[in-house]
Amino acid sequence: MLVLTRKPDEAIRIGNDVRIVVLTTARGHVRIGIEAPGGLSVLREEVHARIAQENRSAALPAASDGAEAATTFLSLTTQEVSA
Amino acid sequence: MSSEQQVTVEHRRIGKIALDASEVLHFSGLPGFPAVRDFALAQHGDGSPFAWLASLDDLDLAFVVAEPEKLFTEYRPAFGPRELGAVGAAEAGEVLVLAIANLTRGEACLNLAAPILVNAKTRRAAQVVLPDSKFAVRAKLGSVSAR
Repeated sequence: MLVLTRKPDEAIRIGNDVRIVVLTTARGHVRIGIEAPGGLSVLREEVHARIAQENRSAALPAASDGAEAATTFLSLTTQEVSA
Repeated sequence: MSSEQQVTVEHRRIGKIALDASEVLHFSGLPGFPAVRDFALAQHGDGSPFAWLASLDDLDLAFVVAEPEKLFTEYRPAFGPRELGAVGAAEAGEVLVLAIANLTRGEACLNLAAPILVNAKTRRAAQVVLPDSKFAVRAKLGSVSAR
C-alpha cells in the first residue's frame, strides 16, 4: 500500500480526474472530500462489502438447498411474487 | 442482420444460451466479483418476473434478476449523474433497471439498494449503490415469503 502523509487542506490526485482532500481531523476522525467524475463509484468500504456479500449470497449455487429453493421461486409468476 | 455475430454458450448453471453479440451486457466487475465482464440476459419464461443474468466469462456464475418496478410498484429511485454515468447514460430514460434477486435462503428478496443499470443503446451495464438508504438490500417479495 502506498502511504502518504497529508495535512488538512492538502490533497492527493489519483490519475487526472480524481482528487482527494483532507478537510479536517479531530478526535480520531478524518473528514475527506472526494472529487471524482460522474460514473465512478465512491463508497464507504463497509457499504461496498455489504453489497459484495449480498451478491455472493445471491449467485446461484450449484447443488444445495439454496439451488432447490431458487428453483421453486423461479416457477412463480409476477402476480405471485409482487410485494 | 448478417453482420450480427451469434454467440452460443453452454452455461453450467442454466444450460444453453444463444444470443447476438450485440445483446451481450458489458460490466466492469460487480461488487464481490471484480473480474466479471460479459453477461447474457435471458428471460426465464412466460409470465415469470425473473430473468437469468449469466456470466459469459465464468460459466459457473449466474444471478437471477427482475425488473424491480414490476414487483415494487412504488420503487422510483432517482438516478443522478454518478449512477447514470456508470453506464455512459445522460438520462434515466436511456437505462433499463434490474435488481438482483436472492432466492437461495428460503425466501425471495430483491436488492433494491444496489440496482443494475443497463444502457439500452450500448449495453454497458453496472451495479450502482444508491446513496438513498431508504431502499433495502434484502427487500422481501410479498406473497412468496408468506408461504
